Amino acid sequence: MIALLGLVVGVVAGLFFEPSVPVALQPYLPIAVVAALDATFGAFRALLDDIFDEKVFVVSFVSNVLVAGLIVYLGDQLGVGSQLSTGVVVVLGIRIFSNAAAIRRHLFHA
Amino acid sequence: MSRQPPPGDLLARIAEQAIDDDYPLVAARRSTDPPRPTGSRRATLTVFAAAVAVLAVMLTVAAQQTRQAAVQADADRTALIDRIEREQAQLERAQQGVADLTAEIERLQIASQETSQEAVALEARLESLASTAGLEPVSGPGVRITINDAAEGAPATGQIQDSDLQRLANGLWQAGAEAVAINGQRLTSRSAIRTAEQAITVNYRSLSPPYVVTAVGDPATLPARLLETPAGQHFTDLSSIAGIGFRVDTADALTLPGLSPAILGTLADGQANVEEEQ
Repeated sequence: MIALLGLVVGVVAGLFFEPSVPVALQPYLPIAVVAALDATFGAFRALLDDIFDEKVFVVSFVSNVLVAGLIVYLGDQLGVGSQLSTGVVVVLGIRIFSNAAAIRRHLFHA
Repeated sequence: MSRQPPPGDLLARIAEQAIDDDYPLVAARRSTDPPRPTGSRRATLTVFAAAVAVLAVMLTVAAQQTRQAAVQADADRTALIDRIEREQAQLERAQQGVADLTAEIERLQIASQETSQEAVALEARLESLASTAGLEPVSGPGVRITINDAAEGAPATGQIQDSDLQRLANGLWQAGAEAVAINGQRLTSRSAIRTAEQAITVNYRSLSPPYVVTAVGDPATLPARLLETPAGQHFTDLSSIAGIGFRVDTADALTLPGLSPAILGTLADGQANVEEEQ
């Protein structure tokens, strides 16, 4: 319930304040969002597994975002930015699906 | 992790290790540690909610940014299409202009050809008219005819009359002379040979005998053809009956002066020219 509240608050804040992202960081925002999504799904699964730890979560959240952004940045510098982006999205996407499946099993026992 | 995936199956391994390894590690360590103080669960949830909020903000911003970029790209594309269409219209106009100008060039070239042909024709006509009109000096071979009054005491017919000179001038034109002058007075299309106060005038200039009539023309044919004309017959008769001096010489180089336009202008329009009088 409190997570849902956080989601609503975040969306409203994003719509209301419309924070502007520096032009240099704009290409990395989508990949950062995917990385954060992965960290959040992992955290939710851990929460349901009752092995959640806020320190681990914060570290994994921040490091996921940073590493994903760094990989895409390196790819851009090397001229393979879009390929590396695709790789990151594939890996994180698989993880998100896998975590979502685990969450589903927890919540619906199916 | 309960089940170890077969080595090399990268995707399966990723799916198996979907959750961060730290969670089970920390959980295992905590199970051996003393239990956490109460209220920890609430703090845990708060942290999670804050993270979700941060995620939501990022998500919203990214989505909005993408939409704005799409709008901007759409506007750019529309502007570009507009510009392309404008330039194409301009290009079409310019090509139409080129076609128009090419057609005009062709038309003007034809007109120019016609004009230059006309100019050549007019120049030729001007040349022929100028010699007739007597504006330009004329030189070339021709004949020199010397006429003198009969000796003193001869009958009145022995005096040269203006009509005699008129006849002679007409005879010369008839015989094919290009230009004729009497005592240096050029005969033009407006000249008149008249008698005024006992003297014969040409171009209003009084002349006195002997009259030297010079004519530019073919010296080989001009004298013979002149004698065949009525004027030639007339002068032959005058010469033999009234004793008038009449001598025809050919000349290799004659120069007949032109009549200045100023003098030509004084010859009144109404004044009949030599040809008309006869």
